[in-house]
Amino acid sequence: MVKVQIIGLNKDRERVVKKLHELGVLHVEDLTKRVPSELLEKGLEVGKPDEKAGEISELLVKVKGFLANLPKVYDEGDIEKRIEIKKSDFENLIPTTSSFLQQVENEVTPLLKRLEELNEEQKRLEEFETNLKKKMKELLSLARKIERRKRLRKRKDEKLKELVSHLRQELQSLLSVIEEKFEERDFDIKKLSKKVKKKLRSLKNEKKKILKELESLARKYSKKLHKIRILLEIEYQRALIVSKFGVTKRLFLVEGWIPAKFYETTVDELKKVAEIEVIKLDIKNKEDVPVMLDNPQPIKEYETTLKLIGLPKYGDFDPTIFLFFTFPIFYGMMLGDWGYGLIILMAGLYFWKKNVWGLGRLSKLIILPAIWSIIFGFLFGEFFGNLGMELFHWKPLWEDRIESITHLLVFTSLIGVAHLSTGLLIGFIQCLKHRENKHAMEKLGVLGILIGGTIYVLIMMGQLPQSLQFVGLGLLGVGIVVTIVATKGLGFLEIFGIGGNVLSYTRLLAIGVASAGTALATNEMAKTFSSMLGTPGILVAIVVGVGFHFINLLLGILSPTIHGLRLHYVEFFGKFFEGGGKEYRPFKMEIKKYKS
Amino acid sequence: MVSQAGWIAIGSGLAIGLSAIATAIAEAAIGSAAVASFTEKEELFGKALILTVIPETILIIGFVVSILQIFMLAGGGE
Repeated sequence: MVKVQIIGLNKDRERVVKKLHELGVLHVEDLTKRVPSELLEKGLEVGKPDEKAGEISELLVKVKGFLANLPKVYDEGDIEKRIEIKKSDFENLIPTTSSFLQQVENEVTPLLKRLEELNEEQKRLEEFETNLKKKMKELLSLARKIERRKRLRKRKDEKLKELVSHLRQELQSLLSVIEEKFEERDFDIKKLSKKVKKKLRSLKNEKKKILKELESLARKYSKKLHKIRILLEIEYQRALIVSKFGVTKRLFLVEGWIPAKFYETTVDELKKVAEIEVIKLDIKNKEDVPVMLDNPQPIKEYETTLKLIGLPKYGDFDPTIFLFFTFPIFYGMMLGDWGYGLIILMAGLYFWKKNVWGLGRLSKLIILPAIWSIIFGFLFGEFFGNLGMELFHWKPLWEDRIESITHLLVFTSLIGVAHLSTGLLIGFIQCLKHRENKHAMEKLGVLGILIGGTIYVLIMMGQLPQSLQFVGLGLLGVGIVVTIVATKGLGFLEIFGIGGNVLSYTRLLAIGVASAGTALATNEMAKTFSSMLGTPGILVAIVVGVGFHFINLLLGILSPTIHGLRLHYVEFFGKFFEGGGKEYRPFKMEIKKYKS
Repeated sequence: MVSQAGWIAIGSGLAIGLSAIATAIAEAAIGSAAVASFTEKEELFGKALILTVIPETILIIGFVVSILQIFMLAGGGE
């Protein structure tokens, strides 16, 4: 990263901003947050957003409003992919857009208004219809009450009078409502409801017609509207970025970061469009430098998994490559079933190619782990658990996971030792680079404990010759002393810590055995059903088998992923990774197709 | 009477079962805090997920102990 200051004349500002946006490499620092006082004294001010910004955002709101209100006739993602932006599209963008939007407004807005009116009218009528029914029921029950009262033939019946007058009032008010709404004095309930129905029908027909017209308008305009939206958004970004600049009456100043490999070309390109001065600044504080991960494809894809816990500090080691190499291997070792692996591989490829549920990018990451699962599946001889072994007598190429569990326990611990040693070595080199000698010593000490301890344990288990005992104990002893000296005593905790770290790698076996065990239990259940119940039993067996294998498969995607990542994040990264890097976010146009 | 193999089975069952309960208690507390934090700030999802599975190590160690009991003790006892 190179820290630069670009100074130019205000009259060239628009062109420079445009070029910067097209180049898309400058991470702009917000100068307004810390304009140096000396510059303030010289008359530098905080930049204001371009005066065009207000106009653009108004147009943008309108465009988005139309896009939201017009019926969706195209797949929006599809349209966006196909839109091609040309440099010439930006010429006279605001005036042409204004007149175009006026035209759209003239055609669309009356229709939208009418549609809204119709909707409201429909709602009112429907409400009236239900209210009328309710009212009629009420009135009828009132009339019945009066009838009953009359039959009593009391001489001075105050209650009856009251009821009659109430009924009269209600009828009056109902009639006046009807008169107002339908201009009709007759009170024929059947006629009335027919009328309401007829009105509703014509309403709906009109609505249909309007919607059709709107659809044809959407077909006519929505592509252009989408394109205009993208253009306006780009213009808006360009207008807003100025608020991060410093300005004087005649000059503007922008500060930011450019990756070293783009520095020369960027300056050349900028100098082509305007007379500017570019000053390289010294990097005072490494914490300020934005971090750009720079990995070739396909390793680059795995940067997503690193960003889950944060970016490394500027200049530190980028461990993405391990997430690309060892994470899939760990995943494969845990799942270790080539039946499951094949299904995950196919599903991953399908989800990736078709971008199902927007999981395209994520599914790309599962492909490599799936391939390793297939490889380990053959090594462990697992095809849907022991199904391959039961039905076709497929033998493992290496070892059966459940039978040689103790053997594999040692093996996975050794993988842990190797992985952790790599982490410690990286940490050691990194500390040397930063001239943190004490920390470097500590890493080396812990490495000694790890290797020495491992050798000693292997000798105790009879895996290594007794003659190596001296080497093992020596390394262990020196490691402990170095660690304690480097950390002033606290380091003895590392001895237990590193042991726990190694044991943690046995999850490579444990998760796998759990999954293999579930598969085995499923197969056994299915076998029992099919042998017990005859022909219907086979059906039950199939349902049970498929169901449980499916659940196990889902767990087999989730669990090894989490644990594989965890082994990297917690145990491995813990040895060297600090995190907390600031992401490099260049001022850049986010469009697929651009022609200059 | 419980045979020697029976005791070993009970022992290793306890080893993995109790550590599973311990893991569950720890993960329940961490998990609810993790969900609360990443609903407030979505970019914490990764860290929250990792923190949630940290106590799983207890279970893994329980598993290792249980396996060692079965294979080593049973192997030595017979």
